[in-house]
Amino acid sequence: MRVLLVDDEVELVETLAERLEMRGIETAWASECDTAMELLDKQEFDIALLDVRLPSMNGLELKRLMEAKRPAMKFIFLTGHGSEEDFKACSAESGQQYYLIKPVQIEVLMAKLNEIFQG
Amino acid sequence: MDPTFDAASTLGLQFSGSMTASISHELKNVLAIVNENGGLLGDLAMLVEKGRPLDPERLKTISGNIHRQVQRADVIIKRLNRFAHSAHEQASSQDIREIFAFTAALAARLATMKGVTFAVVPGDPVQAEVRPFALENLLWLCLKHLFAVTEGDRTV
Repeated sequence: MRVLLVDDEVELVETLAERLEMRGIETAWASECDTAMELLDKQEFDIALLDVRLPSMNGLELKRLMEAKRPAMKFIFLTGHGSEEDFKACSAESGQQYYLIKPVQIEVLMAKLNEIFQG
Repeated sequence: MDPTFDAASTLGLQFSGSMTASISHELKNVLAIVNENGGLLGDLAMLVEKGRPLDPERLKTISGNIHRQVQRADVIIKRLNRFAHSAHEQASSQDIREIFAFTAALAARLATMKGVTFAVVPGDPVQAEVRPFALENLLWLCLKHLFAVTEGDRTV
């Protein structure tokens, strides 16, 4: 499984990537949308984990751009917002069912990644 | 109700809402980083149990990461506390330049989201009789307007 992590908090994506690598998942990360799109041009990914609030564009907009390039790719959104209801509404609108609220437990993330990858 | 007072109250509430939402988001990020670093320590401990050697420098780096995030949270919470107290401060002689710097720090994350960076130019204090919250709110309205009219990466 190859996963692309995108979050403007560099320390967060760096550490999360290391922990996922320890669990046998190939990862790459970006802290900016442009870098994420460049990575997408060079590498194949099965799943992207996107922060909802990113500088320059939000995670939903980035998802649309990525989806245009890689239609088979799956997405998980990561949000810091406490309001789960708001994000459910946002997810439903985009046809996206996968989201996690920060801070996320690695076991929960792994379960979600496996569910999507096998699904 | 006095319509002027009502409009000012509404703007003040909107301002407070924007700032506290942004601060809560930033604190969530801090928690997420601490959570991952704590988790990484657990992962490394498990590897040690399985016999893999552990470089003490690795532990120092992780400890330093956690310490830095705790300091970051401390700064954010102090800023939030000052902001909250400014709402009930009466008009008094204030350093306008310092309030501008404080508001810029308060709104920095929202600015970053809009591709805007604030640069606070150092200089002599400028004293004036103001209500801090009113000035912070006024400055925020100006900054919000700037976000709307600027495009791309800009420094204000």
